[in-house]
Amino acid sequence: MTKIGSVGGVFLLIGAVGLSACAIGTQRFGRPIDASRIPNVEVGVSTKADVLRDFGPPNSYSALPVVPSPPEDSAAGKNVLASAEAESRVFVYEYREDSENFFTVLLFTRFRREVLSDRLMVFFDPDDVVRYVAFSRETEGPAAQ
Amino acid sequence: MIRSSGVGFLLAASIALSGCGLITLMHDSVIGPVSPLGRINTVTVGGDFHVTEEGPVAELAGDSRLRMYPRDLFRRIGTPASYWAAAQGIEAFLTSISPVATRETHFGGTAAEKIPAELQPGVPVGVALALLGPPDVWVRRENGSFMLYREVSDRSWSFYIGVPPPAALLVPIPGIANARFRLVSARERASKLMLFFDEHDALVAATASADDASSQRE
Repeated sequence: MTKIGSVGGVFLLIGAVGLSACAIGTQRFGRPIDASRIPNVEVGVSTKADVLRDFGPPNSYSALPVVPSPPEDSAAGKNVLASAEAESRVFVYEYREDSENFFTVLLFTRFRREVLSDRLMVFFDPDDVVRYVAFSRETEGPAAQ
Repeated sequence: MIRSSGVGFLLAASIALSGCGLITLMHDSVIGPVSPLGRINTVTVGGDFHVTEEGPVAELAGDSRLRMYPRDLFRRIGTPASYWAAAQGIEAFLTSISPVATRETHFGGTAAEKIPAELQPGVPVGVALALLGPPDVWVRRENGSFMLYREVSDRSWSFYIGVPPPAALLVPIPGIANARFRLVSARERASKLMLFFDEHDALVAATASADDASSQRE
């Protein structure tokens, strides 16, 4: 009886292993941002060309959205909006990691997904000189480099 | 003769099981909306094909419903993203038929739930950016601007009992596929930090909050 029970246990174990599955994967988007070069970007000194030389082409080049006020719908108001946009040009560099873990065995399934990104934003003034720099790292630094 | 009839049979079977095959169209028309496979025709022949944790998704717009195979068949097969998509599709299917399943999704790093002590009124926007990094949203107005930092995560737990839809086809009891019970408990959490600046880009106010939304459905 004990022998039959142990054989059954072995079969149960083999069955459980056979009916289980797991998947671990990471998708990476973009190029890792070299954080060691960020101190080279000096506010009020560095230019757009300096940033391009250090970090290459950005993922996007845009301006902060400006919400108009109702009285500013006039031509003068539009000029104000245009100048506000010109003062907030920004280079955006982004590196994203989309990781997922999946595990299933018999009656139980576990799925976990995590999306982390490193972002560098460099704002320029109308003369193309760096105005602000913002950087955040969510991925694991050394592994991403 | 036998070989030619075999080839003919294989050809007929491949057409019947293709994106515009009879079985596919019948499946989509009858149980497509509730099937764990989704609408097979759209996924098989539609454009903009991608897979999320909810399953495969594609747009049918611009593609013929009677197209047998997608226009970008070879690209789909050849790109590594296809294997990722296939794995995600299998995962979504197994999760949908698993009696007990937990799902956890997390977007973004740890957003500041507490306002940093350095962020006092009058602090320039450059200091805030250096402390907190790039904001998720920054909207400017003529008389100031505001920034938003956020982190979103959701966690769900589901319990399912019943005959899975594919297996129900093998059980000769009418309506057996409808004899099922599913309990889903979901929790969404979002941490937000908002900063308000005046027209001189000096901090006026900062507010942080953590929203919790839970739901349970049967």
